[in-house]
Amino acid sequence: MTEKPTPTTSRTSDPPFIAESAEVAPAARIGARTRIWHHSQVDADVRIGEDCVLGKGVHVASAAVIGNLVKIQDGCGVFGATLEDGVMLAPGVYLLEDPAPRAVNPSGHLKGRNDWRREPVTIRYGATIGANSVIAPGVTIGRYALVGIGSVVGHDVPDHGLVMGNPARQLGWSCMCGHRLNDNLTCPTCGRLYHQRPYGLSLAT
Amino acid sequence: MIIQATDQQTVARQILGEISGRAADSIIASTRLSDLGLDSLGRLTLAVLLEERTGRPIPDHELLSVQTVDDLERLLTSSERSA
Repeated sequence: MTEKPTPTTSRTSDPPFIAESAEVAPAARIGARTRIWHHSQVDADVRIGEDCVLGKGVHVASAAVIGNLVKIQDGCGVFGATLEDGVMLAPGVYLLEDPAPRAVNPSGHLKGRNDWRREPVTIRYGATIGANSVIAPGVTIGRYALVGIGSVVGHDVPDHGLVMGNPARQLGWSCMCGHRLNDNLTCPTCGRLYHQRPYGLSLAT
Repeated sequence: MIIQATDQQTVARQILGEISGRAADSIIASTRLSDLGLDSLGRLTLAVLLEERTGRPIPDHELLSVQTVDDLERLLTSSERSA
């Protein structure tokens, strides 16, 4: 599998590791060799793939779907999002899903599960979200995109896009290896060359 | 406040000088932003300072296409004309 998450059940010969203090709902599906560390919480309707790492104090909720080889570092909140394989969330990232957040509905009652419309975030293959960034509901972060530290992202980011700031702005392009491309869309570190496409960049063939 | 094209050039080179730590008069039209050592944070600072001092928004896709000081000054001049 390369792009779309296909989480597996925990019934394999190589089970996940779940720290004693973590709270993982029995109905959550956790893939082989995935490690879930201290005080993390995974809700019942969540699916997580193989070989992932969830750091300390991560909360994954609201039917989030997480692919393989995903790293979610300390203190992140993943609400309903889809994370393709190879995604990295640095510490303190929040992926939100309610575009009209209110505690109460117009008649003054506490909003329940059916009182709001979900617009979860999608993070595509290999993308990285910098520490303490917040991604607004409904946003799609493109393949291998890079979101700088402390950003607030309210719009989609193209494949390999490098964005930063509040509100986040696109300031360049990032390589598969994580470095910024030069003006010729070439990586100064690994030498990979890219071409512009309608949806962002792709490797030159 | 109306800012003329020549002022835009001054503003661009002044800001680039502040960000890069180089003297503004050592920055010429053919200087590449990458030669000034501008990383992504530098480009963000450039965008914000330009917008603050010229009063005009600079769309991300326009700034992305800027490689040289000349490119930047043309961009500012064209936005001056279209304003």
